[in-house]
Parts: sequence; C-alpha cells; structure tokens
Amino acid sequence: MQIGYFPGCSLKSTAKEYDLSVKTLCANLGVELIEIEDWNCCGATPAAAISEELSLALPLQNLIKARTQQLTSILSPCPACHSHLLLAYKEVTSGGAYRKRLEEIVDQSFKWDITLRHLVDFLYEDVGLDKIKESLVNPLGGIKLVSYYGCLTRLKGVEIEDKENPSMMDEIINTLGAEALDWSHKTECCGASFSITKTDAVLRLVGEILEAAKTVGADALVVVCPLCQANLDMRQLELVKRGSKRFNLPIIYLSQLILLAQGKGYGEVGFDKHLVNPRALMRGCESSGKHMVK
Amino acid sequence: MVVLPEGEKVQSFRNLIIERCGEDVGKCIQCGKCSSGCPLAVEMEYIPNQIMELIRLNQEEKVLTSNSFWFCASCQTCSIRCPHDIDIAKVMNTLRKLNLEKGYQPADKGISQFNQIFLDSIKSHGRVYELGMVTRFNLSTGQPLKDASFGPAMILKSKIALLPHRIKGLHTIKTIFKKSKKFT
Repeated sequence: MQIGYFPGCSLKSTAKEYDLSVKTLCANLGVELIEIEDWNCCGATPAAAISEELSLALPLQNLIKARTQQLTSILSPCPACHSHLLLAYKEVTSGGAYRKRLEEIVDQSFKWDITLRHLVDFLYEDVGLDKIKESLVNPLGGIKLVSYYGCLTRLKGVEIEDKENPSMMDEIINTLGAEALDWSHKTECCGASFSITKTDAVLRLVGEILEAAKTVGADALVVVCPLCQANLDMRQLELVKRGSKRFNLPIIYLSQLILLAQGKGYGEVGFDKHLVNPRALMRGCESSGKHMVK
Repeated sequence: MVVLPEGEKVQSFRNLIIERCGEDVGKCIQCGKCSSGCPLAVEMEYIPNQIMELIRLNQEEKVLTSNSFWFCASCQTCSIRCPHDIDIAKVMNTLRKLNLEKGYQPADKGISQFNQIFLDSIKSHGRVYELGMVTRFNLSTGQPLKDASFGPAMILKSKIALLPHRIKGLHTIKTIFKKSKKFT
C-alpha cells in the first residue's frame, strides 16, 4: 500500500515523536509513505479567523503539490491539518462558494479525486484491525488506557463515526491487548490553540481532563493530535508547579502504542521526547510478563 | 441560498451575520445547550446563547466589543449539539472577522495578536516557526519569560527548532497571501 504523507508543522517540531512513530508504524505495516514535497502550513485556525479565502487556499496549495506527485490519497496525522485539507478539497470539488475565487488565487482549475485520511480512520478502515493484530509481537496486557480524541471527530469536514462517543481508537487499543476504559472526557476540548495565549484557562481544561482520566484508573492517555499531546504533556508539569497534585499521566500517541505492541523499545517509539516519562507504563506492560523494556 | 427574513432592514446585525456566514441566529430557542457544553464559557463576557440573543436584538457594538468570540476555541461542541442546527462556532468566527473589519478594538488583544504573528510566520517561511513565534508573542505582550522554563527541555529533546525551515516555493505562498481577500 502507498499513501501520500502530509506531516504538518507540529510533526516537524513539538511532535517529532509522532512523525517518527507514524513512519515506523507504516513501515511495519507495509505501507509506503510519500511525503508531499515542499509542503506548506495549512493555515490552522489563525488563517480562518481572518480570511476564508486564505484558509482554503493554503491547504489547497498542498493538494496541488500532491497532485503533481500523482498522489491519490493523503495521510495527515494532525487532525487540524486533516480538517483544513478536507475543507479545501470539498470546496473545490463540490462547487463551493469560493471555488472560482480559489481558482484565481492558486491559478489552477480542479478536477480531482483524492482520498484524505487521518491516522485513526486510516488504521481502522484502510489497514484494518486484523492486519494490526497480525503485526503484534508483544500484546500489551495489563495496562489500562483512555482514548482521548479531543475535537477530532467534530472538526469541520471530518466524517468519522460517532461525534459524541467515538470508539475506533478504543477498538484499536483493545486489539493491542490493553484495556480501553470508558470515561467522560473523550471528546472534551483541551484548549490547545490557546495554550500560549490563555494559559490559565487552558490549565483548567487540562486539569479537568487529567482528573477524569485518573478517576477511572487510567495509566495513560492515548492521543492522535500533536496539539493535544503537547498541551496535556507540557501543561501537566505546569499544573504541578502551581500546586496541583502530580497526575503523572503519560500522553502517548496511538502510533507509539501500536509500536510498543509490535515489540519496539523506549527510544524507538520516541518516548525519550516526552516530558511526563512513560517508563512506568512500559513497566506495567512488562509486569504482565509479555513485554520487555529495551 | 439563504433568504433574508422578510421586511427586515437589510443591514440589521442579524442579517449581516446571515449574509456573511449563512447562519440565522433567529432560529435560536435559548435552550442553553451551546453554553453548557462550551469549555470556555466561563471566560466569556456573554456566553454563547447570550451572544445569539444579542445578535438577534441587533446589539452590534455590545457583541463586537465583547471578549466572547475571541475565547471560542472552535471545538464545534456547540454547533454539533444545537437542536436547531445553528453553526454557532461559525458565527463566532464570523464575529472575529467583523471585529477586525469594522475596526473595533479587540477585547482580547492577545489572541488576535497571536493569530497575526502565526500568519506572519507562514508568510515568511511557508511553515510555522514555533520558537520565533512564541518569542515574538511573549515580547509583544510584555512577558518575555513566559514558558521559558520549558525551553531547555524542548531544545534538549530537539522538539523545537532553533532556526526556521524555509520552503522553496515561498513565492507562491506570498502570492496566496496577496490575492486572498481579508475578512471573507
């Protein structure tokens, strides 16, 4: 299987371990990733807050680049990038109000057929649970996890399953041998887009999410968004500095979790890049007698 | 095609919102689901259902000078829960653009300033340059040492680049910025 790859800005900086783990995971699953050459930022929420045209034209430019590389499907591990690529694609292919203007701006006309995927639907639908199961070397018995989707399922343009109580990620976690717990904050926003500007408000949200995860007895949170990860990982330390209790909850990417079950070690999955150290989590897997800390 | 409510002044604030984003707040029944699910409602001067009502009452200045829409994180919870299918998050985003377009002072300078710095970063590099962006934001808001304690860890773990990556096709990005109309 071959698929285009749009990492996005975060995966090249604060979420390097997401980039690394998605690449290793795809290699393990026999999926060839072809990165969009010289890709640009999708514009994220700041572009949308000032101009609809800008916020559609920036991601569209990436689709143009993908097309010159003859890519017919694109994987974006960042939900925000994924949503913006989807919105731009839908606007030009389904005759949206801005289509004509966009043709003028990027100086191209469109007749496309591109499939856009986020990591969750790519793993669940394109790869499939059976194939994931076959690839496992060390099933993750003994650890309890909560899946944290953030606003992924409700982002604009995204049409993956139940918006209020999604379960794809939970099913993947259970396939790995770990236990996905039911909990209250699966899709509550963590406020990551305000992490820099409104830190106090964000600390409250982060605290609520971590508290909810702790209450049901989770060993870690599993995430699929680089902004959620950075926010919950980094701000967790700040909560402690401000006198909150120590949650000590590692925030790990779904791709890292699958790699663990595929027998990869601490450094290989990129755990050395985390602020809240996931080593105790690995010991949890180890104590179940099926996993070795490398 | 959205049809404006009959007999109303075309430039009423409610109609302006309809024109700009196709959402009619007149459908709001004040059930409060949007506000009860909003993670940031407690930070807002007027909570989402109040904003809907104020727009319906054409209280343009009150709405556009409030901090409410700046605090919207665009998480879409309100929009997916609205029993009358009002895309409230879209209305909030439209208010951000109207605030700037009409020259009102943003009630929350930080967020609009951050958005501008973020876009400047894309314009100069084609991608986001986190370190430059955060430094510029902290300096411009008079808090140079904010989050500085995370710097060494992030650099040690090479999670934040010291220098920006500039894409080759930057001229195309500059053209996109030049040609895209603001406040659309």
